[in-house]
Amino acid sequence: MSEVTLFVRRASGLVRAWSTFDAFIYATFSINLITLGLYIFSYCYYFEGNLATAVVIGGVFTIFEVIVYASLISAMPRAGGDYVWQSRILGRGIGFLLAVTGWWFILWLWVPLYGQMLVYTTITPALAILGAREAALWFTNTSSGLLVGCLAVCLIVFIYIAVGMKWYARVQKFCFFGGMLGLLVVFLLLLFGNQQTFIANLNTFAARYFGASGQDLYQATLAAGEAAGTVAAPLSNFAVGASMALIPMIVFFNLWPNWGSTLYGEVRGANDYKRNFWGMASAVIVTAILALIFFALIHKSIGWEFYHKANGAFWNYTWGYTQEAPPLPFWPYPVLFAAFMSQSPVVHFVVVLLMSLWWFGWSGTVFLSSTRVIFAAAFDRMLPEWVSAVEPRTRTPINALLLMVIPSVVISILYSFNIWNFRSLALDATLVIAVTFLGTTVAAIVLPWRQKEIFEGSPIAQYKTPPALGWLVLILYAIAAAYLIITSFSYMQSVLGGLAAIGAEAITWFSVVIVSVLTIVNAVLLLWILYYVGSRAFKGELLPVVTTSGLVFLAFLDWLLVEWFWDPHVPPFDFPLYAIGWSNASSMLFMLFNYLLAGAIYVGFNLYRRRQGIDVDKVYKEIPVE
Amino acid sequence: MKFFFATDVHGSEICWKKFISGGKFYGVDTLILGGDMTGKAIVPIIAQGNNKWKVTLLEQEMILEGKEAVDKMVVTIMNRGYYPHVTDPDEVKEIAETPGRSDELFHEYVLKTIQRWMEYADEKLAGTGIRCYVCPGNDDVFEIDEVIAQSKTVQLAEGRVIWLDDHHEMISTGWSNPTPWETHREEEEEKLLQRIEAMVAQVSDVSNAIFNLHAPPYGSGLDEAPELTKDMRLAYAGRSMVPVGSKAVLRVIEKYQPLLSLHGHIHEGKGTRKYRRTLCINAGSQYEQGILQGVVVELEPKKIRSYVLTTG
Repeated sequence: MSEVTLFVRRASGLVRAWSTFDAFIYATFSINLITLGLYIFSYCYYFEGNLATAVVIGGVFTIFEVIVYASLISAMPRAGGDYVWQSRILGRGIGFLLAVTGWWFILWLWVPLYGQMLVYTTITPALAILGAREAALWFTNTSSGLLVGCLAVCLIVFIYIAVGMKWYARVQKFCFFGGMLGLLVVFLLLLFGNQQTFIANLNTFAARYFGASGQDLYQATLAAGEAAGTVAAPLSNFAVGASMALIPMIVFFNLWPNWGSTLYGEVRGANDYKRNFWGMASAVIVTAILALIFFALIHKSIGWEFYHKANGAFWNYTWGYTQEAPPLPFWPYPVLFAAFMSQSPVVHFVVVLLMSLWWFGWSGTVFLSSTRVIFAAAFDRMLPEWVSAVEPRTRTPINALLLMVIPSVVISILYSFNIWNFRSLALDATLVIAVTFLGTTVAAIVLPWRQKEIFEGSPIAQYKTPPALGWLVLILYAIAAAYLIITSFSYMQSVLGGLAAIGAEAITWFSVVIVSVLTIVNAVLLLWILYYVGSRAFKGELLPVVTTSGLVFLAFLDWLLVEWFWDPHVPPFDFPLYAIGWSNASSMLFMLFNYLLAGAIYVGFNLYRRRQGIDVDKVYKEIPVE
Repeated sequence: MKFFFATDVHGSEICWKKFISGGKFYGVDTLILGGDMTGKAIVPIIAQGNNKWKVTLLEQEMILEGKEAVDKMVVTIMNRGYYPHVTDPDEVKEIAETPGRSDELFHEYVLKTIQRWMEYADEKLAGTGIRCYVCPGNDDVFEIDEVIAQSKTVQLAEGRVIWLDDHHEMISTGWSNPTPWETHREEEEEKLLQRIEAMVAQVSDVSNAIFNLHAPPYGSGLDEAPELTKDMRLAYAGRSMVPVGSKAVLRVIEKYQPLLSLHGHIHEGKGTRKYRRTLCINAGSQYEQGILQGVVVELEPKKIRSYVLTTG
């Protein structure tokens, strides 16, 4: 008999561990290869890098994110995530500003993106296979069609929230197995198919389902893609340097393994930390492997060049760079291409249907976390009481939902009809959340000292970085910080110097000033972190793993932000890679609006509550013990 | 009047101290602690000889060298809500192999801890004018009531109608509806309803009363806990949340519509809910992290002037 290390008594809440596999399922849905992945991969035709390389390198950095979040969840479970961690560790104002923007406001922009994915992956292919060609093309090729897709997202998510987490968790699990079955079928179709079959069937079914005209759609697509400026590297060429530029694109899909991470019940110890870590990390690893298999099979049976050029032809037209419609009048959905290995419409339909489960199992995530943040802010009296009201009969948080749905519909209209160039803002949806994650990562880095007792009483206290490795990470961080500061300042200098020459408008000057101020703030932050951690390392302290992992992930996030905001890869001012930085006034103003709105709510409610006699400053202050 | 309510400290030494200190910190005149004051586990710190001890905390085995390290570990364990037991391998074996021995040890520690807590409260609250009420919950053994009753400053609230000021009466119970763990103070909904009704019958102005009921109302959202599988695992990795509150509590709130109801029991259920005119609050709990969640409420004669949930 092994030695007893703990005696427990009869008491509520003592439960056994949850399944790591279940945690893996939910994390896998959050970094959804079929929806988020295929969608953003399709944008990447104009990059010279290799998607496979970018997925692997990006995935490696995401593992550090997983360590940061698994650590925080174990140290402060049930706390309410980013909002409470940041509020408690960094301060209430920062917590509110970053959580409300990253978990609430920016989700308004995700709705049209979810809608576009619903249309592209499910509605259009399914309708086309069923013979409703006009309707299918209406959804993909018209603004009204896209808007209807967006409204469908609101409706579906509304239903998910109304039925509650109990049923949504079941729906997700069902969708996971159905979606995985569909993916297996797709892989088998690609594995046993070949390019000749694909070309023949593409010509047949693209014409039959979508009315595509032309003798050889494959060649015509290659030509249209070429004309669109497709330059993607061959799959066999790792193109490591060029692929780095792809990473700020592909984090749109793989930055979210932490999205559904939760930890309820008693934290019994290190095994809970490991389960959380492996639930998320295995999702990152498995998804990356699945992506690589998918790429290899696309290369084998569809053609890597064709895949990119089809994307180039489609987006070049959709984004309005050309008036010439692409040979394939639908989004180049690799799943549909795989289905074309078969000549059976039934197989086509079943494959599309099974793969649509990746969307249906995932879509609830767009509002679920937001409602949590809205509730948390209301409980902190930073929003009116009515926002946390629950409809008695269905127990639906109706007002919180409306605070999601109404602005989402407005943003969906702007996006669908491309008002103020809103279709160019796709990556804003990632940037704003990355800023929130950056706040949480800073909180994680300083947790061991800022919340010493919580840290030391947690399962992660024992995970220390060996001295040599700790110093290595610290030195690498210092180098990365220096690189980021020097690079961002040189970008700033070059842009400021060149603006006058291009006769920039006032709004562009304004955007550049904003990004310049952020660059200075960022430099201060990077140096402060270096001083904060470095001074402790010099005192001989062993650096906790949460701190060293945080340093790596912070440098990664910071690099993403520098790339997004300065967007410096091409000769200035003509063709930005990410299109959301200083040169895109809509993007800058939209993000600024989000942060100003959050700031106004924070300041307004602080003043209002003070007038009511509520000392809101004490909400997160630790009670001093005499 | 202004009070601070917290709940479910589950043996956490630091949370108790924060609770008592919360009076001055939040500037309140009354402290109210909902149920579940006692810890759930004993952590043996086992002597290994040569001035070394072995302890497994949070599934991590550690070797402590010297008395100072042991003392530090004792504090860490106590703050987490567990009872540290400095011992040797023979006693650990004896406790593990003798039926009922661990229960005896628990009783010993539970009573010793509550005794110490009462002494701490007496020392800190004496002369401050701050009143303090506690109401043991479903996880608490009955024997602690007697220890609390001996305190000079802490009053036992279970089953009583207490005037908080000239306008507001408070009824309290730590009893809950049945749980999967068959804890000490739980009973069928019907009996729980009778228990609460008996208290309500003694209230002179129920519309202005405060119901301090450990279990939250069923389906209120304040009672959402992770769904459990038959073998007591968290179903769906803890994502599936189900209501586990009390229907009896819901019934009395809907029937009598008191001014305010205070709850705990479901640690994940932090939040507020309004049933017509009644504001229901579950302060939630993060006792393992030494964080004291609570709520500061200011009452006016006929209404709630303000409230704010705290993470102290």
